[in-house]
Amino acid sequence: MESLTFSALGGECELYGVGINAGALERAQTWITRMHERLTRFEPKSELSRLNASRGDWFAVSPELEALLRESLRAFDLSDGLVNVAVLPALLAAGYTRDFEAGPTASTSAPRIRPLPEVLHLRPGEARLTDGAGLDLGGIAKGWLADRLAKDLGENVLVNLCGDLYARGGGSTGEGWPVGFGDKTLLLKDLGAATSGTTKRAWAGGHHLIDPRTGLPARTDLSEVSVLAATALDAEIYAKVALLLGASAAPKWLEGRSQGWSLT
Amino acid sequence: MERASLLRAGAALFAAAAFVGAGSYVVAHPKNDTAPLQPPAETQVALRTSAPSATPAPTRTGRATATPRITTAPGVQATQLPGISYTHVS
Repeated sequence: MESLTFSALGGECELYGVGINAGALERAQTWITRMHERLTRFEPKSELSRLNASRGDWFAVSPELEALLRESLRAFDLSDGLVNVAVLPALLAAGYTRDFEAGPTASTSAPRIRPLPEVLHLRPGEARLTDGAGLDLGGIAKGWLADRLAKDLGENVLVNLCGDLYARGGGSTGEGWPVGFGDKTLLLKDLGAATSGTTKRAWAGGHHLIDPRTGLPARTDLSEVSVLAATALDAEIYAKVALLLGASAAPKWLEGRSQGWSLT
Repeated sequence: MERASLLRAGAALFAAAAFVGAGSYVVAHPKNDTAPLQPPAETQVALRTSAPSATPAPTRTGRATATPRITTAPGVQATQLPGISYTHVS
């Protein structure tokens, strides 16, 4: 089994593969790094930052960003609006204006977050973002990238991008990839997993998970939710919804959608 | 002499009483679940043996967490193998 660990997307990424060569993993790392440069909101020249600064004009987008934006609209629908990548103005108001390592800045009053379909419009090869709106693709991008990479990398691989992961194939034993999930280890085969929580990227008086209903850092009785789903992206969406719904409503929402969940 | 004999007889009586008392106690208590000599962990050990759980995966976060409530679909298996990777908050 080949493996590769590296830093990208604001955290640690791990790639594992059975029956593939080390060169394939290195090419995958290069692709992830390139996608990070394109999708980060912290670099003014990134493709996402330029879209955020496009002031309501139609903006030419790469096929990857277009696919991600379409998935973001699907996430909005799937979550009844609880997963809304247009929360950037609220993140900035909460003080998360720069790379987390640099620390938060002063917070300001929470803006109203408009529904994503009202501010984001797509047509083939182009996107238009209403002036004043802003996107943070965050976990959506990590989940989508994990799914996409696992599909391209090989038949028996595990792709973990900062906690959003997809296990394709059965691992070295064929029974599944052993993956830590809550306080257990599960054997995952052709499943995605993701975790959402308020315990990391948190600072005095705030954290990075915005509740689109209030425009403020979410107030929930759950601190961490891990979810299994058919894809890493769906797991990311489900985990975020469950966290925002809280301990009493989350299990009912997840039932029938998710293959498993851990609530803390 | 008479005083020494009395002391010897008293000591012998005390030893005999202690022997009989201890024996009576042991005979009376071995089947009593609440006997003071019962190891208090006995029941918990029996429960753990009858219902094994998966080996906890390392959190790698270095912080204490509350116990997660985990639900999985029937097709998802737990294992006692250590995880090679894990899902976590980023």
